[in-house]
Amino acid sequence: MTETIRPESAKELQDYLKSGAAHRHSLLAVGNQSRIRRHSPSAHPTALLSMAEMASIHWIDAEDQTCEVDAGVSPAMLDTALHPLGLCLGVDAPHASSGTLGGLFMAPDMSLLHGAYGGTREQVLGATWLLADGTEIKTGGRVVKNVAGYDVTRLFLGSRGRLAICTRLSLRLRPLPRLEKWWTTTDPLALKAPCIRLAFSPQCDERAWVQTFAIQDAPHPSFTAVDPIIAKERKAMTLEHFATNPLRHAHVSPPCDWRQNAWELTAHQECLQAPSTAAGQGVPHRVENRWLNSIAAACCPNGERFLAVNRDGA
Amino acid sequence: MDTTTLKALAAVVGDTRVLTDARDVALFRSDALTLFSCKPSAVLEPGSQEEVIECVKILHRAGIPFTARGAGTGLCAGALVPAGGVLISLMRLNEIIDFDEDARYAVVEPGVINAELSKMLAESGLYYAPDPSSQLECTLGGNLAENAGGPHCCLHGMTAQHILFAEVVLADGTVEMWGSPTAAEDDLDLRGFLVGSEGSLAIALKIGVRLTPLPETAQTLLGAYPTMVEACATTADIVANGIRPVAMETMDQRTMQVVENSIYAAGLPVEAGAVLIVEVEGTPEQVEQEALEVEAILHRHQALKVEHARTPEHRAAIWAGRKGAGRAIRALSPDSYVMDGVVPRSRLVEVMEFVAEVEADTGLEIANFFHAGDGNIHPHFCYDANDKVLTRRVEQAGERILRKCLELDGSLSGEHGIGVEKEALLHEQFTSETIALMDRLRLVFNPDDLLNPGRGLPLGKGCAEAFHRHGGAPA
Repeated sequence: MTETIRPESAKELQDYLKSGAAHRHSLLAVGNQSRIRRHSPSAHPTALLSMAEMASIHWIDAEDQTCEVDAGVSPAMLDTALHPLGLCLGVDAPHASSGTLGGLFMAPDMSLLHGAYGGTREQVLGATWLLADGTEIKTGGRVVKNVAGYDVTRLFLGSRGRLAICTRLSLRLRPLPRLEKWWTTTDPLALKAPCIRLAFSPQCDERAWVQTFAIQDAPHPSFTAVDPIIAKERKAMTLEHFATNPLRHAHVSPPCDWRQNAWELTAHQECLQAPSTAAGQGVPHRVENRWLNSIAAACCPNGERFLAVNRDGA
Repeated sequence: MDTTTLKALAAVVGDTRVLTDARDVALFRSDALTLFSCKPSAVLEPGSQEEVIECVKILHRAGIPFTARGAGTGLCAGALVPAGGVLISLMRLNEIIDFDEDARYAVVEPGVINAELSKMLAESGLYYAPDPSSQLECTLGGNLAENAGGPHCCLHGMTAQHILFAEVVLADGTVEMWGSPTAAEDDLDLRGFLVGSEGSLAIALKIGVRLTPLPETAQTLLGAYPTMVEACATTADIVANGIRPVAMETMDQRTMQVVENSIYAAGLPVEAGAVLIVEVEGTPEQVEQEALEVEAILHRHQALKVEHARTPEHRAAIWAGRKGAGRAIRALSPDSYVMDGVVPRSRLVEVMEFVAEVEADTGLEIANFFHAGDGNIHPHFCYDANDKVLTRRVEQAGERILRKCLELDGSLSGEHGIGVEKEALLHEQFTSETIALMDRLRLVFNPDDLLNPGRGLPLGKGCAEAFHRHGGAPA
């Protein structure tokens, strides 16, 4: 029987963890539970930590283009607050309304805006975390350049709740693009045009869909302009596809092996980015898992652990 | 160091590549921050990755602390070892191993010079974007260790965003690959954790760097202002208008005068109190439009004069002047101290007013040239280390400014690192729980703390007291 804990504040969650919850339960932080199956297909938590009740936007600094939010805030809620200020988050991700920012950054998919603003980790300037024993850790800060101390933020981001629970995020924001244009191309070489790094969208059909900002003319002869309404629908479909596919964005069907699918997808994305490159050698999972265990042990010397959901679900 | 270990090391790298002579090792006693120094007991100059790995294994077995060192251009005393330790110079590992034009990455050895890589790649239309001012001398291995920045990081991001993977040797000689050209977002980011760890987790032997397409066009604008405060205030307005400049730099009058009297002279507006350098890049249409807008904003903030780079050569001269400013200033006095602090961009005016206050209080001369677009300040002190009282005053002034940065929600370092320099202040930026966690994480990778011991964390193990302050003669 899996119970769901819904703390209303970081303090409440901290007290729960300090009470030794990690010894009594297999704990898994799940944001608003929008993607739990996809990211932890074979995990068997006995308690889920929902972050949905912790959903305050603490401040938005329009001048510095930064903000601080609770991890339970949904991307859509933040967008609603940002757009009137002419700002946006540099990540385009599925589950904008039902997911949480904590989930977005802790179990990230490749952002559709990767080419414009970098990966999801690049958008996080700092964060507040709770370790499995309830210790509060604050990493990074609110400035865009920061090399003081180890970059624990990067280590914890993307760790899918295995090392720490993110309670608060300090985020970098971007000015809303003044003009967005959409193009498609079937010519993979065209994607090498310098302007294409402005924005890039992986896609599930033969064509690559490309979004550019504030460019007057077609960036490359082989690009075809797309009606913005169609492009918007297509984008929504892509995001929906990402969100509903339990095995990440794999475009192969039927899904067979979790890890294999993940790799086919990555290869596909890379293919669009860098057409002539064969699939990468892959991430050394054994290395990752070995370090994960040691890092988790360093986080809580007294043995408290979150549910260890490894990449292959082990 | 015992002779058996020395002999074993010499057998690996060759007799002439183990430096123990007092005069030879004296060259390695500090990096470009001469406030701290310590003579290593030996300096090793391995010529291959295999030699580095063997040296690491020998030193690990013998329990001797060691630190990897690049070109020694670091500015936080990050590549020092305490007495009895060994420095491993990686300057001879300077091969570009692989270049994948389509996938836009190169694999390099750690001793490759930053600017050399871009020079080698020029014909491909790709380059390595992070451009620390020392890029003509500094190595990519050192850039990785300190997560180096540079003027153009304003748009392109820091070193961390340009390292795809690294093959590393751990303190015990184990070799592992961290990251990959195709790493997914939800991989454990050991690569990201390595970048900026000041060589205290592992030594990178092969580095996969992301390459960036050269911009189609770029335009550089100079806005001359009566004071630094007006120049800083303008940066916020440029960003607020939705413009994403690739670089936004500022220099005060003192710096401009020094530059104009040096081989880096670039025709800077020396009559002004400060200059703001703004660069935009992209397609020709975009650059033309953004340059017009930037110009309008510069004028709106009462610029005394606005100038465009007239030719690509003029643009290159402006950047040579900006990046040469540090060298030009360092030539003026026996010692110099360039401090590195960050504040949110909106607090730049406040922090620069404070720097002026410190200058007035102390009577020290401070030159300012820095990355205004990122809120990353670099007050530059000129002094003579033989004057101990003056040196102490310089250090104290630096600390006052750093504390002000923290007070304004900033950080102790934007791109230089913590090194020995700022260890003692780190606990003012982070909670003790956070620092204790960082220390435990270090021990996961570096369990005996032999690899760059104590560096970057204020735990008293390798703390500043182990090093000679003020460039004084080492024992």
